[in-house]
Amino acid sequence: MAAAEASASRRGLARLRATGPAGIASAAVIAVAAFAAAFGPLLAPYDPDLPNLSLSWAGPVGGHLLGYDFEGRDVLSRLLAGAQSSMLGPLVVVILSVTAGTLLAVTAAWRRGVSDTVISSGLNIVFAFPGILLAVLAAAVFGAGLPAAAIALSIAYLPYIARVVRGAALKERGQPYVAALEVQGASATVICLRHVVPNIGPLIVAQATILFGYAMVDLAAISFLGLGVQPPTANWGVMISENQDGLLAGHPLPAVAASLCIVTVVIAVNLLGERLFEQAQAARG
Amino acid sequence: MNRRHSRAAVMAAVAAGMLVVAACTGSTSGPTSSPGGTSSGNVSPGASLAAVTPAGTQPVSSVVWATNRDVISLDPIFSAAYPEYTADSLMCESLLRQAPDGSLQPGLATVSNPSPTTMVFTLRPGVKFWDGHPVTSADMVYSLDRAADPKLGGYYSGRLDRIASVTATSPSQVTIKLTQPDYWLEGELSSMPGIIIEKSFAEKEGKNYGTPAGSIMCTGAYMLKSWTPGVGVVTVRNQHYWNPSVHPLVGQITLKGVPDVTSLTAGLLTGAIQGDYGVGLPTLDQLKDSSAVRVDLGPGWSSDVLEIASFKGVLGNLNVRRALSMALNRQGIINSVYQGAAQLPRWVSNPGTFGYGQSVFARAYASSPVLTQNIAEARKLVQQAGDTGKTITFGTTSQLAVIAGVTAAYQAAAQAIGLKVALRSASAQDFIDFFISPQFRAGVDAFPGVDYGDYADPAALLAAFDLPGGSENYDNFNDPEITAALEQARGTANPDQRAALVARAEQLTMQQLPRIPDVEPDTVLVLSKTLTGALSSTAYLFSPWADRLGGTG
Amino acid sequence: MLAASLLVASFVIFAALYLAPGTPLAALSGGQPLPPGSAQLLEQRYHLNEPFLAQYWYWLDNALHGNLGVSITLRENVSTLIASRIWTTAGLVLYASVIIVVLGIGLGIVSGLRPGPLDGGVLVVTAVLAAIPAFVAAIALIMVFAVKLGWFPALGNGTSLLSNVRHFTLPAIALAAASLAIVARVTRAAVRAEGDREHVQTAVSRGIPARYVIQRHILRNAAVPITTITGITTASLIAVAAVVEVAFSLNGLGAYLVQAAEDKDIAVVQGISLLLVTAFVVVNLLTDLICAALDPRLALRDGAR
Repeated sequence: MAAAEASASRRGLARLRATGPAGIASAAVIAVAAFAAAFGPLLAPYDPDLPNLSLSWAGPVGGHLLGYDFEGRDVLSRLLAGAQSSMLGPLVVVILSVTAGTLLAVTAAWRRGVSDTVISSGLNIVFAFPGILLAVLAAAVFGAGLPAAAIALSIAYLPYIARVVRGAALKERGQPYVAALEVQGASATVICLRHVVPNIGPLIVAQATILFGYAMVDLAAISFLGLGVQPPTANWGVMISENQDGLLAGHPLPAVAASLCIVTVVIAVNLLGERLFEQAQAARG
Repeated sequence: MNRRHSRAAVMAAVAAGMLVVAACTGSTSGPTSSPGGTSSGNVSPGASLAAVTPAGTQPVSSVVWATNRDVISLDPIFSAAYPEYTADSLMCESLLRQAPDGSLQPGLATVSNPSPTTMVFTLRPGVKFWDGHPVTSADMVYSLDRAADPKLGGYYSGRLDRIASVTATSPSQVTIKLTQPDYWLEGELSSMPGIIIEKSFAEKEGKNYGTPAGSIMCTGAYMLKSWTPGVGVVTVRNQHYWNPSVHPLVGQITLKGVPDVTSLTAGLLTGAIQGDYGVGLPTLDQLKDSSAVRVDLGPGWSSDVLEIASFKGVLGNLNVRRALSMALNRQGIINSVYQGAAQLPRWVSNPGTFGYGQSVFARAYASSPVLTQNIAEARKLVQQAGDTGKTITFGTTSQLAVIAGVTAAYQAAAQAIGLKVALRSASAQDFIDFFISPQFRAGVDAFPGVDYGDYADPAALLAAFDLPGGSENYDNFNDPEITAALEQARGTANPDQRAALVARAEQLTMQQLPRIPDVEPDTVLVLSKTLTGALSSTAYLFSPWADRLGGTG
Repeated sequence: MLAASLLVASFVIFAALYLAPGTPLAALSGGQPLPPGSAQLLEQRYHLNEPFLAQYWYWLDNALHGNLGVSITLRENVSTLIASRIWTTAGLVLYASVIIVVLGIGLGIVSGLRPGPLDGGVLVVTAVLAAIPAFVAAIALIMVFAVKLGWFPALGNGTSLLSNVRHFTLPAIALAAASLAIVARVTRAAVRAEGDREHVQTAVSRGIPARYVIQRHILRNAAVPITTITGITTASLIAVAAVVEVAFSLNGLGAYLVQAAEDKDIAVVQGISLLLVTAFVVVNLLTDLICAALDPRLALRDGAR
């Protein structure tokens, strides 16, 4: 097992190198964002949560490189603290939807027949629910907040990941090594988990990366509608929403800074995901 | 929805009690007679504020006016928030009218009190509906019964609960008999419950009266032309308006709901919207600097307060309430939340609500201490109370700029005096639930709100939270002296004596602090530079605000 | 399939709003508690105190007879309220779709066929556009083109067809921006992939004119993935329109849906949601049909839809 894992990570790094300079740069950006997400609150030079109305909208001065937001809080500190929920939300969405989606898709592809029809029809019904609608409903039931929005988006993204994985799993199932394993008496679960899924792994990772980008943008929009992360929790999407009045009032910096954070990470994620996807497609022929 | 910065919840806390609007300026320098005063843009906070803008002189073909969200009802007994008030007051008139300075004047009728429990309303000559039919006592009886009938589900039936009977004593006169004297009733009848609609028309419309599916029949200078939800309420000039001294100059006024602040500001700056009563508008500075619109500040009737939800937590101790009030950075709130369009308070009620007994109120107000910030003193109070380190929980919403800003100020104040702060956030729509649902309030110590009443009287606001059973008395506050003063005031005929009693209640309230006053907001009128004449006091909510609206010369 | 989707959707939505804390009455009273008589009356009229299944059945029964119920806030028929707003959303989505198809596919084809600086430029622009949330785009467009430059109106619907087009231009661009970027990138990839194929190389080496090659070989085969992605993104526009409608104060169904859900105006939420679900399903169906027409082999393959 250890040898398999070690070679898997070597393969992973090799794949990363093979994505070219754009891919590597994107990975670097994502790494920085992830680091900020993990350690942001510790790194923040000032208190990201304490309001001070006498300083509201004040410009960059002294150690406050990006100035103050509408409640007089340091923008840079708030961006760093906000990285956590801004990255965590999409991560949760991706993990949930990819796990559930892969499970459902592989089951459907393996079993065929009735299971496949039921799962595919179910997913098609989910497919018909626009993500925003699900988020609005989830907010109504569970109260506005990140958990509700994340669950809603996870459900909304299921059909997308499931469609990709199901197609790939179907193809995989037709490979000779699968028949060989079956003849040897390996159970379906073992074949799926130990062989099929790892083989279509690169495709799943690529799709997951792209979904991360979608989730980030969708969660920002959900915050704009007031249904996502609730202020005063620091969050990039919320910061755009909170500070947008500043755009028309001559204080664009807070909203623009938060927008740039989102846009930069999403570009990085999209680029990396595309490269990985191309790689995965090429490898599978 | 947006939705995020709608100003809806600023209006959310309408006091269920009664407020008699009084003329007032926002300053503490004594009463000023406001009608006819001129106003300039960029009024400095200390200057006295005018309740009207100079009358328009030129006809204008069309004006688009913004409200903070869509109008949802044109039926006065189902109207409870800014957009509905704005629409109803534009088109309909009540028995008595609130003057710009808050005093009560004859509206469609004059009133007399032959006995403490009798009110007689006599129609003024020539009053008629848009369809030309004269207003009769049958219409008055119908409208009043309708407002007072709990079975119809109107929102004001509780305020009219001292009415025993309403009878037509002549084709132009109605006599109301009361179970007890009620001098707050005149104020109510100058507001939504006093609006007179045509009986035959309303009976024909039935359930559709005042809904998008039906229409309305009122008496005002502007008539309803069409109402499309989502697009707006379109009104046109009433060429046959009964009042010969009013000549409406605008051909068509459209009321459009614009909940998104960015959209509203962009609309005002580009001229797509020509007028708005900007409640809690965060982009005020931008608008003041613009060449498209002018910002006028007028006397306000609303009060920005901290509603105390529970006396069982850390706010149960009077000294802690005093400390919190002492530590609050009120000037910071005025500067950054209201951008200068608010005053420092001495009482809970806004001095703009001194609609009667002005000199009595003014003297009492001037003799009350100004609230100054003293953090060191406040910390000591908390330490003495033994509450240092305890947690205070504020209910809030970030989607309403005013509530979010005031919460921030209280956060800073509470932390400065040694308390820990927890926040319970709701969406803009759900914020209203703090006011009306005990379950929603559970575990919350306090939440900010902006209260105002149906007319200019400080007593209306006090009644809501001081009196046992008041609609905003959330945790059984009962101070016998305050209760006695208010109850007596309600039964006192003489305005100056009433004012003295209410002033005493205000001063006692400041000692007990069942509410902590934050600031007293001014009325903000944003108007295209080509227009003038709209009311600049909060009387715009309850009396015709566009009667003198027109083009500048 | 559509009927099943609608039934499940309506049930789920009804359940969600039923479970939600709070009451529809809160939106009516502007923050003051309603007199007991009023509250009772309204609860009776809208069956608010009855068990869940009973309430659902009232709604379903009415809906099957064409009556979508009454809005609690406005006391008007839901069908009328939806009808007056549907053209705003439909117009906006249509306008944005045109932009996506023309610009997205156009840019994708051009950049796919011609490697070089144009291609590089398109790649950068689309990478950025794809990452911008629609409401950020909306705010930026309002600030620059409406307020600063005054070229377009900042909000509202406009009155005539021509002014509608003017009023909808900025919102349509905001709505289309991210999707057009995705469509352009996928188109470019598909065109590139086809261009590298053997049969295309063979045709080129045989001297067949470029235009012929492009039309018959590259585009024909790339048409399926291009159509698929265009269909998916167009369907998603219907939902994202809510955000843009709010930012531009357009009286569309998306903005109304969010408002109604917050107000717990159940009948309105049901009506609009079912409409959105139907539109979503129809667009996806159309996409599948077009793909099948373009490539008959698809129709023969696994058709479990």
